[in-house]
Amino acid sequence: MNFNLSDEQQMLRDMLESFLRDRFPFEARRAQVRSTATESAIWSAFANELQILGTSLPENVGGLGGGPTENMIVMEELGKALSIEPWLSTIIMAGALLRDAGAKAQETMAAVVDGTAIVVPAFDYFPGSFGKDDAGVSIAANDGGFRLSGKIPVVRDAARATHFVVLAKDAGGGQALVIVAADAPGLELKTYQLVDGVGCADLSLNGVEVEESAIVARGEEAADRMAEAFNAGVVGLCAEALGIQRMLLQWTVEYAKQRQQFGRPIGEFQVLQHRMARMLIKVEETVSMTYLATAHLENRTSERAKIASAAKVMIDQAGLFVGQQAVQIHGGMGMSKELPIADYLSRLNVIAQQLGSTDFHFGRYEASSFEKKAALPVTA
Amino acid sequence: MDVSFTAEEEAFRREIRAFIAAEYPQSLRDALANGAEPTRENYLTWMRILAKKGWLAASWPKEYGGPGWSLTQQQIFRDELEDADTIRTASMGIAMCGPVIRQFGTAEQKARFLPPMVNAESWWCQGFSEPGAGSDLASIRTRAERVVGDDGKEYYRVNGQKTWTTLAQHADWGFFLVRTDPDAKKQKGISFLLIDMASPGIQVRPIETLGGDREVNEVWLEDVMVPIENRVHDENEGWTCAKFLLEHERSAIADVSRTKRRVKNLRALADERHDERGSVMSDAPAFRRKIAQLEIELIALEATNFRALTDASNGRDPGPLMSMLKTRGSEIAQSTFELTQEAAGPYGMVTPAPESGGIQPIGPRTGVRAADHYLNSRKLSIYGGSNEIQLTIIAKTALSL
Repeated sequence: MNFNLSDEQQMLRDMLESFLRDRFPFEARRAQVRSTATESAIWSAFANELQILGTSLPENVGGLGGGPTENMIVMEELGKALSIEPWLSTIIMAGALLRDAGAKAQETMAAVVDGTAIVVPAFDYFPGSFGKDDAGVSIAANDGGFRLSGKIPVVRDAARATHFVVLAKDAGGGQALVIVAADAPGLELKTYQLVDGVGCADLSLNGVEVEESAIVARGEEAADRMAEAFNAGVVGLCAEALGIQRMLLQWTVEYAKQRQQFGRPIGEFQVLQHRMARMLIKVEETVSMTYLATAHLENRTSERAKIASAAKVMIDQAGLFVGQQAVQIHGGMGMSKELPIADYLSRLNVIAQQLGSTDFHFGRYEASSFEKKAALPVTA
Repeated sequence: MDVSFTAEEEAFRREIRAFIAAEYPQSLRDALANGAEPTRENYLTWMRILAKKGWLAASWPKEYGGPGWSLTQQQIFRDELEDADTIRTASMGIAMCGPVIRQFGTAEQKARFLPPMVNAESWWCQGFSEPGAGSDLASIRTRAERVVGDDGKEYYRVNGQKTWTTLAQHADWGFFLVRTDPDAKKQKGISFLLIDMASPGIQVRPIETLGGDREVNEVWLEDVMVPIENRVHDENEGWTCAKFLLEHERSAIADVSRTKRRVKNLRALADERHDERGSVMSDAPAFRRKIAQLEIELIALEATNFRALTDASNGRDPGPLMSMLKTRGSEIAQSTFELTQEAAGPYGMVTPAPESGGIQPIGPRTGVRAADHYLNSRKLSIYGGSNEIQLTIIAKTALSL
């Protein structure tokens, strides 16, 4: 057993950390969130300057053959900077859905690696969430090709997508994963922003036509790919939450040392010292669970889904504690948008609902712990 | 990153497991099955078997009579001992005093005191806390004055009172913190003495506590004559020894292996016992959720423990992780006792009459004395540096507050 990073992995971390510190200060984030531009200078730099988009992707799409550990490192750094780049959607989740899935998938992911395509899985919250009971996409054969119709709510990063990967069901209930170009006729996006600043959309597919080659997986294989993408996405979120928590703790401790009340720094009050020690404990537990879940993905163990859900539960709980206490100890300044604290808490708050709520993951953990033979649900 | 064990480590685990299966006495299992308080002989029976195999001082290097195992092997060993529900080995010598003697003792002290520890021939207790010195340990007042004895040799004459001394009633030897310089500032005037518990002037009196078993004692010392060569490290350097020892104590105190076993017992109990609605506890959604919360916290604790192990194996100081392990380890263990009591319900509330050798269970065996054990577990967040002390250590050392 080991949780050690290789020298290359350590270099990736250092490089990305210093890049984001220099090029993505918090004002840049504020500006990016306010802008409606779909281009991102940071993503372009990932493709061209740092050339890291293929770090965790296989060599057959021009990647470097890394995996979950590289994704964990990147997500933690993106979390620290509160970046809104679509690494989770495009590199981790679409990467898992499309890995070794035929020519069309390979060609699409190769375009991701060189920065010309952004592929977004057209699910994040699941069909049926938010009370949108009409959600779901059907697929039917049509004139040598196929037609897709239906709705998918709350697709993260949708505004920046060049391609979507859609999960569709045929009349017999069989599943298929289908690549759909974002500019395909019949595809409509209703876009909006969430409290964490990320652009989302409700997708409507009104008879979108695709060729057979666009279907990258069917049946059990499609379900397996969904499960892999889902687990990898959950663990990616954990790493992002870790980065966010680290910054909140660091800023809170700095603030408590400098903020004077009753003639001394508030950090001298034991009640706040113990609160911050509790925050550190939560952050360290988040480290432990993120590493553990990543190592389970890396080893492809039979427990990886269970551990991913355990990690999500623990990290959702830790994130809310750390975020709420960061605001509390900053007092009014923690509420104010003058500091980034409020934005960081907003993101943690969304993470606790993203890719399955805390409750959903409790249920998924319990299904695996109490009913050994039952298959783990991917969707609720 | 890797979560698998190597083939050698798996083989090592099988070897340990096979040894325990073959050598752990059924008579010992039977003697303790009904929640009887273990006797000195119960403890020593298993300690002697391990000692004969060379595994009692599991954490020790070969040169001192240990097996020389890696930290990972030691963890596997602990996991297997606990998983097999074996009786605990008395650890004050091996885990606490022994390392201090190895680190600070003279060649003579090592030769005299270490082999009996390794061979299960000496039982040690810890004389640190006093009525006026708990969390504020450095304020101890037990006094040791240098005197010349009737035989013309130099001695410390020790007077004072120690308290919360675990299993002192069984001990052959004790390691004590005593004040050798009353004028020096708190930590400065303390020395570390090894005292023969059979010395004239020592009185051990039991303290009755929550949970019922006789675990802790008061130890009174009246004009106890301790040869000067029983002092470890220099005079007034006792605090250095104590700090070193407390670090060791804290690492074992996370108690991951034992809590894992207890959670297994809890799960078995919850599968067996029916609640007021007539379904087994394991099928009650609210109870399941509590167990899931506990298991998830335990998974995180084990991973943190493993990180500390990795740091220590690589020669890095795990630092505040140790205080964190103590805090969370004790809290998670307490949750386990709480849920076990809840799962056992009325069956867990039966308590033995004093000196009765256990109870006649009225329900599932895994629920035997659940209430006593829950009550007893409140100590976990108090001893070994209370959790509040640990939080202060974390705030000072990790956050520089």
